[in-house]
Amino acid sequence: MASVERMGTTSAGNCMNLKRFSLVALIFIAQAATHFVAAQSLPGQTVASVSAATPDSKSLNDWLLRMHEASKNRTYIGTYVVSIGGQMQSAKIWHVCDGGQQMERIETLTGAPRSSFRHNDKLVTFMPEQKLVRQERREAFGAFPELVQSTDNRITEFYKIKLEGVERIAGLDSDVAVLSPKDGMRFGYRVWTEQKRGLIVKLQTLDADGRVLEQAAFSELQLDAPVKMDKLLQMMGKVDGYKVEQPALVKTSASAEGWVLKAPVAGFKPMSCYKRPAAAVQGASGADEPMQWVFSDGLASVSLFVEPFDRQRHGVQSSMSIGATHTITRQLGNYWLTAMGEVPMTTLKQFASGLERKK
Amino acid sequence: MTHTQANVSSAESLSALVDGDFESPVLTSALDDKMRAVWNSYQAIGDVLRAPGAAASKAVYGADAVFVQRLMQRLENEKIENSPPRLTAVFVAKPHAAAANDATFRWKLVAGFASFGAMAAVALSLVSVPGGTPEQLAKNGAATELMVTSPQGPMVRDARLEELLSAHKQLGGTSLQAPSGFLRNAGFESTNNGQR
Repeated sequence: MASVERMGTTSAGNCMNLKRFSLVALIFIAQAATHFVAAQSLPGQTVASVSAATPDSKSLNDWLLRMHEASKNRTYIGTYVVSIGGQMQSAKIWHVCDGGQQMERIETLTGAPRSSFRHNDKLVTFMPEQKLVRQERREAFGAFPELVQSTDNRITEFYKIKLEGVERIAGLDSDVAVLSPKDGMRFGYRVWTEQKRGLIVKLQTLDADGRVLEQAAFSELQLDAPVKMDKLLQMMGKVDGYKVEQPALVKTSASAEGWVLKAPVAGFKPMSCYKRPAAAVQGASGADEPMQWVFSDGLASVSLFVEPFDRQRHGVQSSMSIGATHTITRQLGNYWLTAMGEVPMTTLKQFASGLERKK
Repeated sequence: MTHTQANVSSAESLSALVDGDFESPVLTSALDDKMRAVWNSYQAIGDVLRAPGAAASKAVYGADAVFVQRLMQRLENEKIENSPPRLTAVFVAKPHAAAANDATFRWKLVAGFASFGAMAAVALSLVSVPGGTPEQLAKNGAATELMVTSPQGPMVRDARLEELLSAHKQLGGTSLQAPSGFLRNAGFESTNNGQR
């Protein structure tokens, strides 16, 4: 028995996937930041005006917009490492922009092999062990699309920026900026942007005490690498011998599903609402189509998953976290809520207590 | 020391060895056939628990396929027997576990896990892994949840939660961590693994 208990130390095999999301994530942003920051730190320019006590909304907005712009124009090959909850994952990334077209390839280096290709809004993921390939479409790409789309000042209203000097990451001099929240409803971020190209080369998510909840960085990075889009497109199309899946996602609205958030949570606005047909959901029975209602404050987001309560599968209300991602589960009458986001527990609790069935 | 106690003690030593607790060439070379079988069983269980999906069956190290198959079925079956808390097993993790366990990822229970104390601890027995039928296996292929107590507190692996996480990352996630669908796909990996 004792021996079995020990075994537990190495249990739980297939969870690595979770981490990978963040891998990719950074990259877009990553690409963006530098212009702005780099400009600030050029000799002869007025660094002080920004890095001093000027976390005014204009400088933060400029910084974000430049990151967004820069993210459209980068070509590189890099190895990206993510650390969440004391665990590490890595992936190799090829990224190319060509005449407004974006193409990316990501190969996992840890755990089960996965090859993902993104071409603009088209996404293909190869799972060689299962001989399975997943094809889907994504709506928005690029960093901060909502920021660019709208004129609202949510980010600057709830975050402030501070520049923290220069550090060397993946062999490249990088500017360090800290985005800190103005209230306790969200986390902060420390962002390293490579000076020449504006690629985000490292990102930390910070809690209220400045502790690192999770982080990700390039361990090596080759900017302006010879990445050929047509070659990647060719690889992306080679699905011979694979079973092709195309998971569906149905757009809906919370209201149409019978839900309302009676008390808004500071800074968070509803972004989208979807249902997943049961076939796309593992272990789901026919009637089980969880709704996903997504909120964002411009940087962080929260998903409210609502599904019919099932005594077999639900029942224990709990609070959990993985790195910066927190989640709580609650029973709401005949429904089961899972609230999840890169936000503190208190924020999720506000969402949970504010969500109501429409009368 | 009785013969039985000696066996238990050897088995514990072996277990520690499996976990990398100490290195003893003398011990490993002194393994008799029975102990070797036990050693292989530990390795097999570890590999099954660690290896995702299809990898499990081939990752096993020196153990026979029948044993592995039965172990995997047993793991699947456990969750029915414990339906309300849906726990597959409760393990006691040791402090160095995380470092030795690179490919795992678990939710940390933060608070409010009311039924934690009431949870039944399911011990996996090495010697008697009851066989489950493939039909049972298929029938129960839904959510798998695994709880581990660790120095950081209770940790949970929950296939369903992973799935929601990947959905969250697909449509949400932080803007700083670009909302790439890659993430989502990566996240869905557990889904497939769960179905084995």
